[in-house]
Amino acid sequence: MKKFFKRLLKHRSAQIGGIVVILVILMAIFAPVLAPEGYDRQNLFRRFEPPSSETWFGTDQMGREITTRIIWGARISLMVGTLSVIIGVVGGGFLGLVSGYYGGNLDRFIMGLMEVLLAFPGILLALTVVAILGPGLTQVMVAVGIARIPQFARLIRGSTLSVREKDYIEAQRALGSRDSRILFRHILPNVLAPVLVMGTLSIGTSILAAAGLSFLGLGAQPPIPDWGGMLSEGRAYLRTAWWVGVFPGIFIMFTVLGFNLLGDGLRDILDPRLQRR
Amino acid sequence: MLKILSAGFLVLLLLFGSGQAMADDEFIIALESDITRMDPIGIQDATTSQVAFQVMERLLARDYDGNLVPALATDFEPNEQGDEWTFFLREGVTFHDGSTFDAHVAKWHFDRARGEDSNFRGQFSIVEDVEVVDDYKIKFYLERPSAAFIDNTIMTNAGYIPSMQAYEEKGEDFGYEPVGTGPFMWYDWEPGEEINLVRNDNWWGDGPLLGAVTYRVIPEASTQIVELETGGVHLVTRGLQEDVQRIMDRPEFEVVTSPAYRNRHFLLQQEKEPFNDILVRQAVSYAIDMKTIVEILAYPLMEPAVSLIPDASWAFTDDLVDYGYDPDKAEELLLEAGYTRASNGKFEKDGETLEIEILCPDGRYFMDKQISEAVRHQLVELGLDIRITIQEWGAFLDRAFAGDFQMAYLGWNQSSPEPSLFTDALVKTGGRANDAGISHEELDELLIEAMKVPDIEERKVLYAEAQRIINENAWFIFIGNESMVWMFPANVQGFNPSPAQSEDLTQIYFSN
Repeated sequence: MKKFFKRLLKHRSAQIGGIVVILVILMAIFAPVLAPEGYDRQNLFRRFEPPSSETWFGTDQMGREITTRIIWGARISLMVGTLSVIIGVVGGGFLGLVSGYYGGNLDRFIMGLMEVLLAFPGILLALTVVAILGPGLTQVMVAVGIARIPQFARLIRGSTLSVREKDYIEAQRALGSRDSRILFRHILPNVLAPVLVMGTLSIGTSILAAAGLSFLGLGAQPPIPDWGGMLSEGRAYLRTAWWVGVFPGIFIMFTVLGFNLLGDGLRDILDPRLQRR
Repeated sequence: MLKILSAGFLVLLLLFGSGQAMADDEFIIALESDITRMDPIGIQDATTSQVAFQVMERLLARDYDGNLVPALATDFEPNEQGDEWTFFLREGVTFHDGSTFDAHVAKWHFDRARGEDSNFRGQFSIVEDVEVVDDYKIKFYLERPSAAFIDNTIMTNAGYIPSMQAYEEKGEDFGYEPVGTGPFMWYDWEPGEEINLVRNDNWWGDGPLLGAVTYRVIPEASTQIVELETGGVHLVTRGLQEDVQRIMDRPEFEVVTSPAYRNRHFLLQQEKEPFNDILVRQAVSYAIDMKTIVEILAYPLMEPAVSLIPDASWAFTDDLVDYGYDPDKAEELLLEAGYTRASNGKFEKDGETLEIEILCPDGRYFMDKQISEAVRHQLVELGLDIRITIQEWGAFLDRAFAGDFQMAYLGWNQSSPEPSLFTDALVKTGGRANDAGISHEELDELLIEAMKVPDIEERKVLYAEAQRIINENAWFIFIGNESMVWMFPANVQGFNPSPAQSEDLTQIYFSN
């Protein structure tokens, strides 16, 4: 474990990604300190003030500080990103383990279903789910999470297939362990490494997918400062007040980039084939 | 060889170039959504109606001020009781397919408009019979005298008269290849892209001066403005406040705005908690500084309103209860309604915080989302728990029609100052857009009486009383009257739009 962190700290893209991710996390945690007045203080007489030393990122169409909204928005983005990945990992993990371990018709059935779901682009799947559940932040998290399930299921099934043939699993079986014990105590820990990589990478893309849904007006309801929603509102004013849309866009970009770089770094370190001696 | 090549290239360039350039007598209009079927008795939306106006005509038209003027009828007269209306039809008018317009075609059309397939059969149900008196005279027999007969029938979309011959030849397809008598003829339609019309040289009226009219479907308001600025379209009728302001400041464009018959309001669901209590309705009305909100967020495209009947109508009165901004009064009313202020500053009753959901469409009405957010902010400051739900238009309408809301951002558009088009639809018991189940006996009686009286001054008095009842009950929080706006290049001449008459393109030409 120590070795792992040492290598992680040395890895260039993991360093950069890690710093960005930590900054965003700090921003989210300390939002009440950094922007104590909250994200919804309107002043209709101060609409569209351009960025200045007083208001760093300017004010929006309701006369709210974009800086404070971006700080509070970090909470929304991180929450959506991580929770939807957790939904994907838990759902996909269970299906993948069961499918890989038992094999046979059950495997064919679950994987067939996953293939069908994979045939749809993730955003389309998420759109369908939101259309059924209605708009809202929770719905978006569930939708993006569900759209992730097939990817994780396939990934974990693959690892499970190779792990289940190992001698120590065979030994457990011979000892008469229950399936559930074998699955969760012995197989699960051994298939987690690729999940960690893909999970980290997925947080970035999930934030992006959620921002996309909010951009289409299906996500967080006002006045919640969701970056995707802010970007969508800012689009209308791009020619008259560029700062309303540009700053949330930049923050989405850097956060997603941060998670992707970190994920790339993790993959390099955890993949034995890519390891340098 | 090089010469030949370059000459060939030049020819190609010319050919290609001429195909791209706009004909100098083609007028291009931006539409926010595509048209639907052009069968008059089925037209329900404003964009289709706008295109239909060029191709087909009604018996009567409106001038700049909203007065009725002759179109396919040169004159009309009601009998003394007002239950028989005779129209004298214009002679020598032919449809675009060469068939003749006469009383037989008119009767055929109005019988369809009254028939099973018509979306307007409710409005036409007052007509008992249509009679051909002679080739150019037609008579409507009404069930009872009606002051709003012309507004409710002749001037609706079902008032456009298409060619009977075209209907017989094309069957149901004629909805996609409309044939009328209008100043422009149908040429073709690329769904989702554009609709092309060409000049009708045989039009009975004066003009048109343009050779062609093209409608381009451009859903995004900001894209429409860009197209206007780059010369891709000549007429845009919507835009964000900031964009409109910018166009106004540029001398090469002309911007005309005008108050219109378009009311915007929050409808309070008076059948459900908490708005079943008139005190809460009034309190919320006092707690919102709507005038400031509208002036800052939406002026000049929307002006504050105080009544359901738009300011631009003859029936409007401002002698009404004034729900000006008064948070103290709002608090007082809430206390009177049995609410108390909890330690966190919120109002509660029986231990439950006063929660209200604002239902809002996503951009269907001008600045709807922003206005809802500003309203929410003020109500939160008063100490209410407010949640905004923004829904896509279809889902929004489902909930609105079902009355499934507490407070909904709604609008009502008409192209005529006739007050019953607002009152009878929105507040009369069983009205077709009475989504909050409003039912007030005295008000109903007034509205029924106002439809029977032919004299406009007497009707004014009745509608003033109706507006007083509506405001006293605080069923609505009026937001504003949305104006109409027309933006076009300054070299467009002969275009003089008003809310009553915005679609007359016959006198337009380009100056250089």
